[in-house]
Amino acid sequence: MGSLADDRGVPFVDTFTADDQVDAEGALVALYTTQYRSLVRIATLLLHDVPAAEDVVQDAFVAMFAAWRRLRDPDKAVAYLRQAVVNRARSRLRHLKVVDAYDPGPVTDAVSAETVAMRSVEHARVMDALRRLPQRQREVLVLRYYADLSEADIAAALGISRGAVKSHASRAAATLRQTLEFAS
Amino acid sequence: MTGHEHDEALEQLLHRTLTDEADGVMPAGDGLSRIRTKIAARQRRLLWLRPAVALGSAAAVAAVALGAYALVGSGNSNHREIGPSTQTPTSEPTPTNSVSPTPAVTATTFPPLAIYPFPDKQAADSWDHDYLQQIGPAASYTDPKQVATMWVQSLGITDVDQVTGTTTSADDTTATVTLGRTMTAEQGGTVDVTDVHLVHYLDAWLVVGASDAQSLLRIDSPAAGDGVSSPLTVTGPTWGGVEESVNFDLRSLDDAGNSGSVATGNAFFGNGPATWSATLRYRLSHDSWGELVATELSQADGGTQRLVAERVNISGNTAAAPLTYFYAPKDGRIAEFAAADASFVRYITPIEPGGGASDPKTAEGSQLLYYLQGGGTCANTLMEQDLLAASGATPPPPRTVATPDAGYVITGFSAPTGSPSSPDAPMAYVESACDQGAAVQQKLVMTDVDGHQHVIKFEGNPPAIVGDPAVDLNGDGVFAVLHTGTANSVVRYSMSAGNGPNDYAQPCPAMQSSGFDPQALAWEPVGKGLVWVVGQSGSHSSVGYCDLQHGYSPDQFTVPAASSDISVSSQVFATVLVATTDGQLWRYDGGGPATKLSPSIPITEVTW
Repeated sequence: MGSLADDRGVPFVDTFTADDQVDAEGALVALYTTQYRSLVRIATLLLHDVPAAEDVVQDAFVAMFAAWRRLRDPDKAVAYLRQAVVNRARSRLRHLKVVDAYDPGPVTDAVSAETVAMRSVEHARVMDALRRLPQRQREVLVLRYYADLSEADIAAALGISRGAVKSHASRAAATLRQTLEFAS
Repeated sequence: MTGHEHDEALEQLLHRTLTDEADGVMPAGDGLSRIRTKIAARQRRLLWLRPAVALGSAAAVAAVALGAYALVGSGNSNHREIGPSTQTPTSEPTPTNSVSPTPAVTATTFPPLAIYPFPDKQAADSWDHDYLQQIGPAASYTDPKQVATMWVQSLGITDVDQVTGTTTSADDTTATVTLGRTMTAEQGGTVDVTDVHLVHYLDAWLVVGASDAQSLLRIDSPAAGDGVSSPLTVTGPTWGGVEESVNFDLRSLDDAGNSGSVATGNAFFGNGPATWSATLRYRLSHDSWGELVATELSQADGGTQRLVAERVNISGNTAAAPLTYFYAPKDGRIAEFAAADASFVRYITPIEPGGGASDPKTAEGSQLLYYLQGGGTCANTLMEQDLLAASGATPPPPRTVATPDAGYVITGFSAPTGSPSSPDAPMAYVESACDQGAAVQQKLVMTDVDGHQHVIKFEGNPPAIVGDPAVDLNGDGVFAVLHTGTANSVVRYSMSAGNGPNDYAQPCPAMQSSGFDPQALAWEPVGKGLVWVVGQSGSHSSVGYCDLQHGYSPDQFTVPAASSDISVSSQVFATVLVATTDGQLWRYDGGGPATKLSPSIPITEVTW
């Protein structure tokens, strides 16, 4: 029969003790309280789809719960969640092909057309330009300018080097300057 | 405005815009309960995979979750009838010996074991709506005989085309259609092959399973309606035949009545054990409704002799399960192995005449595979294959990433990081001369994040780089195991400076003073970034890591043989594979001793 393993390949049913379950449940509630909303917002900025973003974040919490026996540390768990959200958002974009990078599409499911109309032209232009960026560059900007993460934390969340973070950020900024005619 | 002021203004604009955009998003308030529901579903699904538990709690849950219908067996016979299952939870799994003679379901209850033409209620309702409005679909689904025949044809089985019997329940809610085929002219006559079971739902008849018309072939596990994941073990009873061969086809279903093969397998048996079994492995990027079909061909004329089918629910597995697979060379190709039991899953790279594939490494969350493809005497190339695309029906050809200079072969590399498909992603590789008399014996070729290439030439041997280098997390340095003639050491070369093999730094001096003789290394990009090193320490190999801020942490675990390769997961903390020169494979999960895996072939090169 199939392997009894969690996302890390660690046997799940046989090794997840009652104590683990209690610890994980406590961590789940605490992390949900402090992180869920911001993670959904990050995922929404990456996916442009609130229900999909919620789904991705919930799945990340499920994976974190399963991985708790090894994580145990809330800081590690936050890093794990962040990385899982970005990876799952990227997988969803790549595998399901739900987003055309050149199609602005609806801003979010939760924002009405009326609200969008009321937003500034500048806001719409910037969001449109962000959506046209390559995925990695968009991820770096979202984590840097919305989540306020350091280069090291962004590198960890994306599984890339700090140099690559710098490179993506630099290229994204150059593209945005050109697209938004920012320097003129 | 100055350039600096422009940068600041752009940063402020981005911060303001993204914050405004994100602050407009308010997640629904039921997130925690939905997470808990998913956790419970996951635990339940995992429990279902336990054979000892599956027959109990799984069936109890299934009875609640799947509704009113179940395929039930009748004692020792494999003949299956459509009957009502209990509406309340029960500790007794199906199959059960008690079959109510009076179906208690209504025609408006969607049968959860439906496989054709609609595996879900929404599609069936939609069809019925159109049917009643006399738009679109024909009335063919209103005839159980036609539905049964069309279903068998949808499986690609064309010789079972005779309706040899039909039984319909008194209240017209269930039916069994027996289908057969005409034997070849030499044999003559018609033979029954399968009993197709159907349920009447609204105006349509839906196939909910099929059993062997001769009551011999039967699937005991998985049970109808079970959730299944790869690898899937299918079992059933033998019947004293001689050289029997049963073919299995796990097929995914969509709501339009289409199905496609996900995995196939075989079971061979004769007068031996009381049960047969077959293992099916698959890759599927999403969860899917499915049907498990078993067939046996006639030894007399090669036609279909038996046909059994049941509904299953297939769990996707491609992208959402880190550490499910590892990769290693097999038969001159890079192959995928199941991490749980080290069993072979599939080949990733094509057969290439003139040379084998070796030295696999993954990147991008194990979605991209890099490897060396031999190309004859003194020639190879560094290649890239998309692992997800390789799962498709028509995998794209691998992409060439780097080719060595004439007279050299690539003997080690660090997979591109950051944006691997970009030509200027940070990477490094080692070219080694084929001619021992060549003036330059090795070249360390490094490409930094800006696409600048820097080459360090090794004019003698030693010193020489052993195995694979590794680009560090900053993207401006390369770690390598350097052989100096008397011992090995871990060194770090700058990607932009240095002219010779001795222009290096020693990043882990404590490692060098410990009497440890490093053999291979790998970066762990999860978290802060560590370089894991495996090396000889007495009669065994020891594995430690060097944290550039906190120094060397030796002896995280040991393996009882000389090491040949090491791989660290890019997705999960401190999860390490070590291959040894005698082909053993060891796995470490961040604590405790390493676990020995048992691949069917010796493995000396490996990657998560």
